[in-house]
Amino acid sequence: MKLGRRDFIKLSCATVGALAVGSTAKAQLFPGGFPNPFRPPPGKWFEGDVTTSYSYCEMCFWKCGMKVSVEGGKVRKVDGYLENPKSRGMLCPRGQAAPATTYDPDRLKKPLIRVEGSERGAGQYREASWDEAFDYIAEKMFAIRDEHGTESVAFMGHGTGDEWFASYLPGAWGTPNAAKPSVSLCTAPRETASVYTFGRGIAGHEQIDWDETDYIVLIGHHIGEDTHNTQLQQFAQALTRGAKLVVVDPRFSVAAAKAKDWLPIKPATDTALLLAWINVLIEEEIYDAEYVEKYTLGFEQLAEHAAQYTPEWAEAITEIPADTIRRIAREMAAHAPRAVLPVGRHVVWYGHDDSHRMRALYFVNILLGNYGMPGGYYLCDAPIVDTFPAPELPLAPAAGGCGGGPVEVGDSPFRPSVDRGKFFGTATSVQEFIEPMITGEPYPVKGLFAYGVNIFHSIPMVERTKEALRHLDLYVAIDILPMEHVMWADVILPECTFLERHDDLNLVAHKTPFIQARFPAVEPMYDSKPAWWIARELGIKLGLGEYFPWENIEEYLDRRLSSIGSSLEAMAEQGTIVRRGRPYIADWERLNRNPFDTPSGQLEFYSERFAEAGLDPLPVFIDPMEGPSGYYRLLYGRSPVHTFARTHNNAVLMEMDSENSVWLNTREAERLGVSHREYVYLENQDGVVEGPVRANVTERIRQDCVYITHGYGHKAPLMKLANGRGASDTHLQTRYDLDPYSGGAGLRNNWVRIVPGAPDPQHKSIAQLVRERSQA
Amino acid sequence: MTTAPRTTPTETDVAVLHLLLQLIAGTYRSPADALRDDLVSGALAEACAALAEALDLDAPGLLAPDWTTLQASYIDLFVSSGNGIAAPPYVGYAIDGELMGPSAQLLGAAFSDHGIELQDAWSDLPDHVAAVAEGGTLLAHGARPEAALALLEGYLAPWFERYATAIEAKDVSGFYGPMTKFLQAAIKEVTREARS
Repeated sequence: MKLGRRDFIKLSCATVGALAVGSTAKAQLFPGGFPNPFRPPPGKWFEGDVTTSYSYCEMCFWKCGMKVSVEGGKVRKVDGYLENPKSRGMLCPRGQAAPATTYDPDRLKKPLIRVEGSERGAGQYREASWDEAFDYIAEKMFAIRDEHGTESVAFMGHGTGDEWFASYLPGAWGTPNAAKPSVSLCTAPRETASVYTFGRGIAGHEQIDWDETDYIVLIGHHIGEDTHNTQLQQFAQALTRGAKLVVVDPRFSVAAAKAKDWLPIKPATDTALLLAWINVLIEEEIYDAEYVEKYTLGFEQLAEHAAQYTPEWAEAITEIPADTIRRIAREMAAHAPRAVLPVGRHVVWYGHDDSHRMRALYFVNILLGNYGMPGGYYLCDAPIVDTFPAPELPLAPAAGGCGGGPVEVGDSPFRPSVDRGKFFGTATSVQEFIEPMITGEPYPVKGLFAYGVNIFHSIPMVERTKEALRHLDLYVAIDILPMEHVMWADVILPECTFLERHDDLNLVAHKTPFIQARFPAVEPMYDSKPAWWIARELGIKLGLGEYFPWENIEEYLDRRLSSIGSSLEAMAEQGTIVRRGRPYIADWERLNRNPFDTPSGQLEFYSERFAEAGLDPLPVFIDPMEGPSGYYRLLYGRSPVHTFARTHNNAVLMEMDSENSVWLNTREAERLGVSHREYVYLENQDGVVEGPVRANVTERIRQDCVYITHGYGHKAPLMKLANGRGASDTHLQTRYDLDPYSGGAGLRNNWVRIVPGAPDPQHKSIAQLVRERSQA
Repeated sequence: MTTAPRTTPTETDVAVLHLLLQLIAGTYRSPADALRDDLVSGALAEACAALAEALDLDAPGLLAPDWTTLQASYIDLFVSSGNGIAAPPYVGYAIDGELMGPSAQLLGAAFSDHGIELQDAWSDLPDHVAAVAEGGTLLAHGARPEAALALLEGYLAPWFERYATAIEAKDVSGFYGPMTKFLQAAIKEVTREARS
């Protein structure tokens, strides 16, 4: 080796130190060098110095309490714990796979700003400091405010942190245009129907008294496929105990396989079936007359209204025999009040029909006398914990949520949200924000924040969404992974995973209401930050610091917990605080309290408020939208090991379920010449093509529809495991029907035809992709 | 495999090793003013030339990259890319195929044993190729060249073996591709000479 006159060249670039010489160097174990990295480390991780901390899971939104074990600075394992009512000592595969998301090498790592002059979607970015990113966002937001008003910035959020980005920050900034897809693309009809029937929302965890019920009727409710941990545990225990199960579904689902009766209903006709059951219960006088007399309003109008909906009428619509309809109604009545028709979660199916269907479902339950009774729907409220003292927000949050309606906005100096007037409900409707971004009507939306929302895999009409993004002055994405839409953002802010952060307290309405806390098990990797920090720091940049008076999350949480005589330190030791509930009406009556917060104080069959708004005060059946000849109605559901489109880059979960398939009835497959497991394309009524996707030729589905699981078909090369596998239902949803009551988007109004002969994409195994990912 | 060198390294050996590690650290750090200064001033090109001369290599033909393109290229190659990044910049990942895996942990423990710790301001993983190389410069500078050489062989060389081709193929800046090719060749030459 030789080095001449330039021996002492100094490079400034390498002198900005990442590292520093420590002052307490230990005795050198490797005095000559470094240990051989290819040598496996000695011992098992659990034999090392293991620490545990409490958290609650974010892999789906059941939010099971978990304990996180850390060794050597790395999360090694997560487990449920018995004291937590949502895990009861067990986690599902998604929860168990959480560390694989934390250590996913495809994660977002640093704040990024789109290179000036590059197109949205081109994916050209430069690194920025958090401060620079916040400055950039604030400057754009101020410009939008000055030209169009604060309302012209919209927020969308999904996940625990959405309270900051779909409620708090929008309220502080002053925009009513904040929405959660978990409302109008999921639960909106059930919540609107519930509030206007029971005077209470459906709790986020669907308050079914599984432990006490003897007869269960599931209507399009995919227990066993959506894998809500304790719901599935309790459902299985109920069946083990001898509870009878009836499943109404166009598809022979996992739950249907456990049922004594499977009613393969014609899609989009469920409301007709429910109305017929109402008819039978009333006409045969087998409803709970005492309960109805004591707790309801409008029974006479309902009885008169329901007289037209005979089982024979319903048979012609639903293709379920009238005798079967009568038999099931009688069986339900025989088991009442311990017979229940559980409410599902994703209920935006057919649009105009959805709130009617949900009200009809609730009415059957009321007629069975099970609401607030053992074996039916229990009553629950979230525990009350004071908010951190702060000035009142200029604008009350309007996004709503799974567990109830939004705060009523009332008089406000701000313009109403851009979706006002399109439907009756008060929660905002995320898909209705898109068109105003393009048309500027009723007023322009020029800025958008997407927190944890995969807007290309949740909001229908994907091309319209892309067009809308092109019209924005500012698009900010806050996420963990580089989902396709994220790479369209002007600014990308990397959030750390739930194992690396505190979050706000989770206050759970449950039979035994409880409070659970999340503690960071490890420090955030890379330059990622938690949502609370991002919201606060941005809020300060926006001049909204008075609404964020806490210095850090520990202070915030400790202050809140002090209002119930606890503390952050105490929560670190116990994880969950469980309260006594008042699950039954009798518990309320003992306290001389009425649980039904309707204007009448009764369970309302007949809704004066709907009537005053020009809507049907009682549920009716509306003929569904029909599709073109030769097409099948596109139904969709869940994979038991995936959540929405969020988990499809998780190596552990993808190893279990790496691509979806399209369920196609055997006779239709024969007619089309499609064989089992052959790859096909799906082409919808508007010519959008998805796939290749495998055909699952089966007797388990009717001939007039096909079915795929949601969340597949990613078009994000950066997500190396998820990219290009299967078909996306969302991309095939190029139309929807708006529910005029709730603002929900009925998504099952799309049809597809099967296009045989797609090439086998020759997907590599997930294990192979994982190996290749590390080898570029 | 990492084995102790046969002979005590000369001052020149140490200087070359130090310069090589400096160049690696500087190249793969997130591009900031320091790199731009070295590019504009010609210090980087001169350092490459010195190293090339010392090792009988061809100096990289560095284009004068547009700074915005270089920054975007860095993100595209190493951070986040719509087409998938070319090279996760973590030496432990190149060896184990997992983040924060056993190699990263061994590396962290070894740095600690040599009295080297990360500064709080560092906002990436401890086994980022730039941080590891910078740790190597401290070792080389601190009269522990054997340790620096072992670090180069055991941890940095595998990263280049895994990713150099992909970086060269995907680079559009005209900087990262040539530099990676040059640095990989330099690593091979330094380790070969150290063992000869």
